[in-house]
Amino acid sequence: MKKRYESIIANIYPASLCLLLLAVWQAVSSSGLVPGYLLPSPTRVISALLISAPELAGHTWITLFEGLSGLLIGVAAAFLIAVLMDRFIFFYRSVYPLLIISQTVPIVAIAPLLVLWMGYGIAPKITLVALMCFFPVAVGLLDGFKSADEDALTLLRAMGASRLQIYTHIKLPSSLGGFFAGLKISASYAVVGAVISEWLGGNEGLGVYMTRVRKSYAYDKMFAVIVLVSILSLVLIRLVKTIQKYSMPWEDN
Amino acid sequence: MSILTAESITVNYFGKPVIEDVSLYLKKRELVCLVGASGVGKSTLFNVLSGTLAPDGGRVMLNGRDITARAGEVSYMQQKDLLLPFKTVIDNVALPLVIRGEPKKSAREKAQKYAARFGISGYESTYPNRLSGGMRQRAALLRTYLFEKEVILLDEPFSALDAITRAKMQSWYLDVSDELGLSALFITHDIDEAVFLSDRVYIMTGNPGRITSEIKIDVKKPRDTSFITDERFVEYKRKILDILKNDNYFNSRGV
Ligand SMILES: Nc1ncnc2c1ncn2[C@@H]1O[C@H](COP(=O)(O)OP(=O)(O)OP(=O)(O)O)[C@@H](O)[C@H]1O
Ligand SMILES: [Mg+2]
Repeated sequence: MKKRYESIIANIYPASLCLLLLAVWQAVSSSGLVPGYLLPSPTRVISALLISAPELAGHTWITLFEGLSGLLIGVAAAFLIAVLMDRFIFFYRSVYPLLIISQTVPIVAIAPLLVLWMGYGIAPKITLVALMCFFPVAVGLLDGFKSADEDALTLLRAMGASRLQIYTHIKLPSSLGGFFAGLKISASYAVVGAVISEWLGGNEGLGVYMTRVRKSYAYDKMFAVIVLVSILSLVLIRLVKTIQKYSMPWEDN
Repeated sequence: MSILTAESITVNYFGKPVIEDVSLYLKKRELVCLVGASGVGKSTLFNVLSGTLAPDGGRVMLNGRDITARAGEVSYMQQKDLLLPFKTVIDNVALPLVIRGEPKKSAREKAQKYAARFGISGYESTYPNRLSGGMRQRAALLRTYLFEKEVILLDEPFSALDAITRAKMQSWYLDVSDELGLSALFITHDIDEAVFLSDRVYIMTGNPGRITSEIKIDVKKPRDTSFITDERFVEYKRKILDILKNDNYFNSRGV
């Protein structure tokens, strides 16, 4: 009961700020200070979202599919690489620095190359999302593995545990915190990553739709897509948080 | 007949000996305490006995079998209770059985049988962060016991507890130890505890650490708390304190 009350209090501040910003935006747009076609008012954006909902639905599914598949593939790859890095020190020493350097390559610059290599289909989109989602999860997992209590590992060895048992009983559960921290970041990249990759070509998806409405100067619809992408990402992050809660029942919050 | 013997164990860290030429033995159903200043190398010796650390010299024998550097031959409870925060109390306790390959269900049932005797019933399905200090130690002790090896090594199992809980735990331990027929080596800082619990006491002194004295506590078990005010108790205590006081290493530490 107390917790619920506290969480309501905690939410009041960001919610009020949000309402305030929306009000300012609405006022600026309707006062004519900024031309309505450049900055459509919140109410117009909402109505655009509702009006274009039927045509958005199909695009949304495609983008979601790309985002989620990319996320899953990225997470799977991150898992594999993190276990290898944790298990083999030479692998860690040779691969880890490269991973860090790879993060300095702008992902937007790789996207056209992926299209060049893989065509206009769904493959380059999923690949791009997977690339973006890979790193935070890999680092989170690796840190988690390394955070496993050294004495707890000794305890399991003293019990005669196998390598696999050490992973299942200590390293994996110890890494869940880091894993979910990384996964939340990756989840926030997934939908955005899919949209970016769609800008560069293709026939369907929210990114393609965005390019189309921009070219026809329907900025209210463009804003509507931006809002939709935010909502999708928020839902995805919320989902990750829920999964985390159920996979880590020992955490109090 | 001794079941566990250590023969001239030496351990170096970075080329410097930490413990040197340490020998000891443990007989069946015996409770032997190892006392010594902080840093003298008691835990290091236990790591060798448990097989988790390979010594630089000497060997460990269990019933005539060489078990040097072989983990999993004796039950070992480390200085920290090391209950895994992400496992429920019963799963923590049943862990050694699961590691050995027993199905989870039967491992839990087996652990459950001892829950009452080890004072953790009612808390089986909670997580360790809800337990009191004494309960944590008893849970860790049960886990150690369920490893089901002939010899038990306990590294300062009660040192983190307050005086009252500790006294209760000591009496409880003597009872359980007698019921289950345990053979244990027990590290402690607390000389009262050593005298109260032990059949024999080993004293480790110096740098590198060596076992320099062995004292037999010739008082029949079961003992109750009246022993603590007995004059023999005071006599044993004085004897051990005198030896520790003459330990230069002990003094240099300012303990
Ligand atoms: N892994 C290690 N590497 C290097 N030195 C170590 C290591 N472990 C312990 N030592 C050193 O070895 C010495 C003995 O340590 P040990 O933990 O065995 O002492 P102890 O007698 O158990 O002390 P305490 O009563 O405080 O637990 C200490 O000086 C310690 O600093
Ligand atoms: Mg120690």
